[in-house]
This record gives sequence, C-alpha cells and structure tokens, in this order.
Amino acid sequence: MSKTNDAASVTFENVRKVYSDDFVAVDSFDATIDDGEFITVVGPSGSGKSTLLRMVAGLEEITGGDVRIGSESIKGVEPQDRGIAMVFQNYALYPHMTVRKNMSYGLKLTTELPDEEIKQRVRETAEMMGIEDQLDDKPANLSGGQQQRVATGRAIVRDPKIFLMDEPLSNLDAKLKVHMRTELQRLQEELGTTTIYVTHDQHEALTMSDRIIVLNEGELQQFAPPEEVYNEPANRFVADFIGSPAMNFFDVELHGTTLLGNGFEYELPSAIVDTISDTDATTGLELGIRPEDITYDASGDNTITAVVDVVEVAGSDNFIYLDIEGSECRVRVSGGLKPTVGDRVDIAFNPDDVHLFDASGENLLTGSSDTAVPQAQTESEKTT
Amino acid sequence: MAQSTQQTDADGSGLDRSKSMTREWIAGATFSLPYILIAGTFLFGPLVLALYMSLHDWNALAPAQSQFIGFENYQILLSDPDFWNALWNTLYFVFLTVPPIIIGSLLLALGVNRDVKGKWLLRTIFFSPYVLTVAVVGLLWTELFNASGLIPYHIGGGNWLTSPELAMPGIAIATIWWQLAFNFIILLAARQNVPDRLYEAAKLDGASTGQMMRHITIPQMRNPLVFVVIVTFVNSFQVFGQPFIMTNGGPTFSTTTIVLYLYETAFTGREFGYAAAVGYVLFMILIAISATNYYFLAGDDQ
Repeated sequence: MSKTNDAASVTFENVRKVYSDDFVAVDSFDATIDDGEFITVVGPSGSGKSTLLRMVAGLEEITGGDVRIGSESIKGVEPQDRGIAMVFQNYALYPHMTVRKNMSYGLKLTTELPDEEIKQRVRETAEMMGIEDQLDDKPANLSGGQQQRVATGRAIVRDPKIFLMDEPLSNLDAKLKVHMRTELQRLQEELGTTTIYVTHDQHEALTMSDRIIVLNEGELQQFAPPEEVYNEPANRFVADFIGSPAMNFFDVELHGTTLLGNGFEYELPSAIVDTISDTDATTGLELGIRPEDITYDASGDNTITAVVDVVEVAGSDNFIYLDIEGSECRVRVSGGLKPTVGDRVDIAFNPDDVHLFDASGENLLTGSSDTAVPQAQTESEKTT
Repeated sequence: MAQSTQQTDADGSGLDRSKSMTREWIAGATFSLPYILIAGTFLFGPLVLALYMSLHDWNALAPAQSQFIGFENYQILLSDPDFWNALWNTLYFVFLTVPPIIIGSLLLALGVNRDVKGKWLLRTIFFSPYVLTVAVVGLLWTELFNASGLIPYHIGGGNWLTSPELAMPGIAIATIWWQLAFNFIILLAARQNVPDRLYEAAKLDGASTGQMMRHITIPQMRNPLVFVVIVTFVNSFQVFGQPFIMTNGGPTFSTTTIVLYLYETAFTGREFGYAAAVGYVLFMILIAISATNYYFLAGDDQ
C-alpha cells in the first residue's frame, strides 16, 4: 500500500444517509479532507458523526452522493479493499484471540505476506504501542489503557491510508484519556496517516485536530481549524456547542450602533456594525460572549451591572454565575477571586469578542454566511 | 491462635481477618446447606446406595437379608447378551439423535438470529414441542408412524414402530423434533450475546461469512455449545420414555435401551442389585463421554 501524494485524501460529495425507517442521519454533506490531516468530527448524540465514519468504513451503505478516497469512489468497494482501518469505541477486540492474533488477523486475511513478515510487523507495532509484553495475553487480562493500545495497534499494523476512530478514548478514565490523547496525536504525526476521529468531547476536538467538522442533525455546521471554530463560530449552534463553560447568549435588538438587551445596553463601534453581513437584521438578534472574554468588576463606559448568583470554585479558575435582569451570565475569573453571593458588580467586554447571531442562528460578524466549504478550501490552500 | 495473630500484627488486623473469614465460612455454609441437603438426599444418597446394591444379590422385600456378592453382578453383565444388545441400541440411538439435534439447533438458532420476518413466530414454533411431556410426544408420534398414519402414507414402510429396522429411527425422529427446541433456545441466546461490533471488526479485517462463522461465532459460542453437546449426549444415553411408550423395547428388543433394560430388570425381573450394576455402568459411560467432550471442546482457557 504505497502512498501517492493525494492518495489518502477523502472527499465527501453531497453525501446522504437515510435509514430504513426514513430517518435522515446525514444530509447534503460536502467536505474534502487532505492527505495526512487529523480531522475530528464533533456533534451531539444523533448528529450523524458515527454514521459518517461508518459510511467511509463500509459498515453503512451510502444512500446518496459519493465518497472518494484519493480519486476513487468507495461505493461498491469492499471494506477491506478501501485502505482503511478502524478503532472502535469499545475496541471490538476478539475476546478469544491473543493480542498477537487480534493484531495479525486482518493481515492474514487480506495480504499475501509470509507469516514471518506478519510476525515482524506485529512485533514492531506492539513495541511502538508499548504492548510487546502483552502479545500472548487475551484482551480480558488487559487494562483499559492496554486494550485501547491493542485496538490502535491493530489498526496501525494494517498500514492503512486512513485511520477511522470512533470515540476511541471514551471508555478511559479522565487521566488516562489525556495521556492517550497526546499519545494518539504523537502517533498520527509520526505516521502521517490521514485520520478521521469521531468524538462528542469538544476538548479532544480542539486539542487534537488540524480541522474540526461540526455536525448537527446530520448537517455540516462548520469545517475549520480549531481556533476558527472557537473564535469565529459559523452559527449559534457551533458557538454554543464548542467551549466550556458555554458561551453566554442574550436576546438583543440593534438600534443604530447600540445593542439593546433586557436590562442592559451595549455600544458597538461603528467599524464593527459596518461589517454586519445582513443590514436588515435588527430585531430577534442574539449577542454571544464567551465567559473568559468578560472582564469582571470593570469600570468606565459600556459596562453592564449584574448581581452575583452562584460562585463555582474549579481550582485554577472560578466560574461566577451572574444575574442580569433575569438572564444568566457566566464569567470565568482567576481562582483567587471569590465574590459574595448578592454582590453587585459591573462587567465589560471587548467589542471584538462579541458574536452576533440573527434569528436563524447565522453569525452576522464572521464576514461570510456560507461557511464550511469555502473556508475548508482556503485552509487547505494555506497548508499545501 | 487468635492470640498469636494479635501479637504478630500490632494493629490487630490479623485477628479481624481470621474473624471475618470464620464469618464468611459460616455464611457460605449456610447458603449452600439447602443444596447439600437436597442433593445429598436425592442424588448422592441414591448414588452410594446404588453402588451398595450393585454389590449385593438384593432382596427388595427384605433388604437386610441381601447377600453380598462382590462384583458378581458386573461379571454377569459383561457376558449378558441382553445388556450388550441394549448398549448397542443405545449407541445407535445416540448416533441417530445427537448430531442432528446439535447441528439442527445451531442452524435454526443462527437462522432465526438473522433479520428474518416473523422471527418471533418462528421462535415460538421451534420452541413449542419442548413444553410437551414425553408421554404426549410418544403418543403423538405413535399415531404419525402408525400403518395408517401420516408418515407411512407419504414415505412408506408400513408401521415404522413394528419394523425392527425402522422402529429406532422412528423414535429418533420423534426425539429430535422434541429435543431440538431446548438446544435451539440456548444457542439462540448464545448467538445473540455475541456483540455485533466483533462482526464489524472482522468485516473490516476482510473476513468472509464463513470465516466469521469459524473465527467469531463458533469460538464465541463455545461454552454454550459444550453445554449443549454434553447435555444432549447425556439425554440420549438416558433415553427411556420414548421407547417405553412407543415400542416398549420391541420389536424383538430392537429398541430396548440401557435405561429401559435397567427398568425391566428391576421392576419386572425384581433383580434390583443387577439393575443397579447396569445403572452404574451407564453412569461410568456418561462420565467418560462428558469428560471426553469437555476435554476436546472446552479448549485451553476454560
């Protein structure tokens, strides 16, 4: 399986998946994943992210559109001939086989390699994964972390063009998860294999990937690098889904350059107001501001008065829940700051950090309303 | 002893441990007592008694007057042509029933596990014979094998149960129909316990349907399969009700099985000691068969 330059790109073209009960799992999905990229697919439960992965794997039929690996359509190609390898959420290790057999099974079935070479490759991969001492054990005798390594090793040993990972870390405890996260990243960088990684964990998405695909109800919301998804969310869904604690939202109306909310006014610089893509949208808007972009206890103009409702101590940071005339506002402050509940306080934020969404959830301040594909293309141009 | 433990373990945890172990032992013994009592009365007691009987010329009316004769019953047994006939008949019956019951129930279970329409109905139909008692099954099939019954009408052969060649196959067919259900349900449950993700992984590994069957399904179902094989062997070796009701061992003793022979020796011939010896020989055969099955099928990690 030698790799040519763009052999391991994945192109989704108007992909659609409808299950037999007419449930539309994925609809009009377009994206191009470049060779060697690490892509995470995030979204809530039922957003179609696993379905997307399983269509690439060949475990689900593609109802409409096309998926290409390199320049070849994978429609009608058997899973083992697609050049993919998958790491399953529950690892799906064969319980009755040793680690060695688990790892060599696919090679034995799909390649003409002599036993000696298969043995050699399994040994090398096991060493790379740090499980060479477990080769003769059965999966049940391994710890969760070791099982995860075996599952990953089983995928690596196949030397696939594309890794598919379906929430591979979700069964690990928090500490091991962080450790395996960096380990997977390091491996992917070493191997340079195109990876599609499905997760519901936005931290994994933000920390691991070159670009993130955000899905909701089977539709692409945004396809962009982590910083862009975080700082310039395409719509309200992405803004709300990515970031923890979540972004604050306030219903506002735009009067000239003033945002009028329930119990507060906020003045936007005219330079920003001029960039609003839809000038007719003045009512039914939502102002979005991230908890860490808010200055607690501010002074001067353009501040908002609020009452401390709840103080949540989280160690290095504290989260303060404020009440602004009935709306909740979360603020992230440093760990040393512990105000008393009931205190009145002025808060402020930089207009550059403000997000503004129209009634349909579109972000009015990103400059472009049609999001994913154009951004994806410019990004790939930058990297090549 | 508690004293010395306390002295060596400064914190006294040794004493606690021995105390808790005693408590654990009492709890364990209490929980297993009902089983020990019931099994002792109805299983191990008769087992020992039967061994005792088999070494005597047993007098059923006055057991105290029974004569100890050592292994004489067993010696007679070895040269008793009726016993050998019953043993061969039983082996023939085992040969006719065990493979079809196991293979048939496995195929039915795998078939019903697939996404077929009317799965629920098929499951019910396949299981329903098992709820019948042996008497009902025997009478039902006696009617079917009757000279004017359904089977001779379609297949021929006259009354199967009065033909020395067809009587045993007839009993075997009735038994297969009856006993398939139990194994079917166990194997269906076993198949449904095999996680789908293993098949998905195997599919990506390039396994064909046959390879999935050999490398995933069968190994994953191994324990229930071993159970089913052993139970089917034991049941078939112990066959009694079907020949008792359908043929009473005939014609010309062609369907007299070991247990039927045992029954007749004991309750018609009043040879209880001899019958006990027959029972013991069957018991030894079953232990040997079960151990062999277990050894060959259960594999290394059991």
